[in-house]
Parts: sequence; C-alpha cells; structure tokens
Amino acid sequence: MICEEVQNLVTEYFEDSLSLPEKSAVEAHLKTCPVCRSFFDEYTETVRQVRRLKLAEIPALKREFLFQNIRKNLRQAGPSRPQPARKRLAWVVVLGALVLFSLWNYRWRRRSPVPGKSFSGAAVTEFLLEEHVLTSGLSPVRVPSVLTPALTEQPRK
Amino acid sequence: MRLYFDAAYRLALHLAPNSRDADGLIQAAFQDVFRDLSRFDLSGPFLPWFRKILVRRYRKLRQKQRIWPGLLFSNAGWKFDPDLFHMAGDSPELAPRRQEEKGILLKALARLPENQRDVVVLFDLERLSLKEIADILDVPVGTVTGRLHRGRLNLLKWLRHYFKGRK
Repeated sequence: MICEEVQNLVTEYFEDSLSLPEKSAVEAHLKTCPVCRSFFDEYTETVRQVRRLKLAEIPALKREFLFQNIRKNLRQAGPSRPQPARKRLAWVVVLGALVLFSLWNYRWRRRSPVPGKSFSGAAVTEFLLEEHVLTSGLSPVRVPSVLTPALTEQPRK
Repeated sequence: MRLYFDAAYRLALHLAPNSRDADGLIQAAFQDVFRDLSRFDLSGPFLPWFRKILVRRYRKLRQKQRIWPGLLFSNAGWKFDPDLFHMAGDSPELAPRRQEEKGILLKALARLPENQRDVVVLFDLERLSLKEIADILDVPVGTVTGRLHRGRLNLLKWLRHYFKGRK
C-alpha cells in the first residue's frame, strides 16, 4: 500500500470501519513508513483535542424560560395553516397566468395596425379577419367582400 | 417535550453556536415538530425524527440568511461562543492555557466549510454515529465519511503546528 492510499483511509482506520485485509495492510504500512506514522499520530492528536470540547450545562433558569416561550408560541400559533407546498403551487399558477396574459397582450399589441391606440369595434373586426386570412392560408381572391378594399387590391403592374 | 428538550437544545447549540441564534432555532424547530406531529411514525424512535426536523429548519434558516444576511441569524458571523464550551479535564492551574486552546479549537471549527463542520460537530462533539448523521442530513453514509475525513484533515492542517509545540 502506498502513502497516499493510507492517508485516504486514515479516517476509516481510526474509526475501525475497514475490512480486515485493508486494516492489516494499513497497519503493515504504518509500521514501516515514518512519514505516515507521524501523520497518523498528528491525526489522532487532532481528533482527541477536538473531542475534549464539551458543551457547558444549560442553566435551569434558561431551560425553563425557553420551555415557557415554546409553549406560549404553540398556543398562539393556533390551528395549522395550509401546507406550504399548496401555497407555493397557488402562487406559481397565479404568476404563470399573469405572465401568459402579459405575453398575449404584448403580442396582440405588436400585431395590431395602430399600436397604442384604442380601437373601434370595426377596426377590431378587421384585424381579426386579417389574422384569419393569414393563419388559414386563404388567397386574397377568396377573401370575403366584407374586408376593407386594401386587402383585396391587386398589386399595380 | 421536556424529555427531549436538552438533547435538542444541545444539537441547536452545536449547529447555531451562539445562544441567541440557538434559542431562535430551537423554538422554530419545536413549532415544526408540533405542526408535523401527524406525520410521525409512532413505531419509530422520536429523537432521530426530531433531530431531522431541527437540521431541516436550520438549513432553511441558513438559506434565508444567505439571501438576507442578519435577518434570522445574528450578524456575528460564523463563530462559536466560547462561553458555551469548556475543555474536558480542566483543572484550575491549567485554566488560562485551556482557555487559549479552547479558543484556537473553536476558531478552527468555525473556519470549516459548512457541510464539513456539521458532520465534525455531530460526530466528534455530539457523538452521533455515522448512520444517525446520514439519516439526519439525508445523505449516504459514504458522503458523511468523506466529509468527516476532509473536515478532520483541514483541522489537522490548521492545528498541527499549534499542538506540536505544546507537547
């Protein structure tokens, strides 16, 4: 086993979670390699020092104060509110509808003949019929006579 | 609730290690517990489930903290409160030296990346098993081992010269 492999396995070796063959191989290497031996000693010392840190006792007064606060908050919270996932879904639907409406409104204004101007019923009808012509593939000759003359005019030769 | 309060508060102090933030975290976690109580499987142990909720709440608060710093956790930055910890094996004669060692260790722990620090704290300080930590953090055991390994190597890198000189 090479030094790099041993150093990669040092945590599992320290926690005794290696398989028997791997553990034997690491131990054999540590016996013969002073660099890895020194590394393992430093590793062990570091873990030992960290584990010496202990949390101080929680003062009884503080514990009681927190406990009472928690009870008060729970009483004030009341019945459970709607599941957060449902609320998020509702917001997504509302925002999605707003975005779609804005896009449709923007597209409709771009395609309209006089952008930004309010339209009479006749102008709207004309626009919708034009849309129908464009999307249905009708040739200008077959366009119904109700359309404005501009749409049925033949190009000048 | 009292039965699990100490264990939960200790975990909260390890995760949000100044007492003001830990107080807020534990209160929020208890509210989550009572809200989600209907989902608890009565055949299983309570404490691991409670720990999971606490860690989940802690992560949500940290996420919000990244977007609005100081909103939920204090602006003290990530450092452990030395008054909350003591060194095992303290004796009055060695008190000044122990204080210094404690400060150095806590600074090194605070310097770790969050995912490594959580695992080192839960394993080496809170003394949970790798399986329990994997269950709480919802990651594979191998991931926990990897983070523990990298965390300890970082600590070794920062602390080796300090403790070598102390021998």
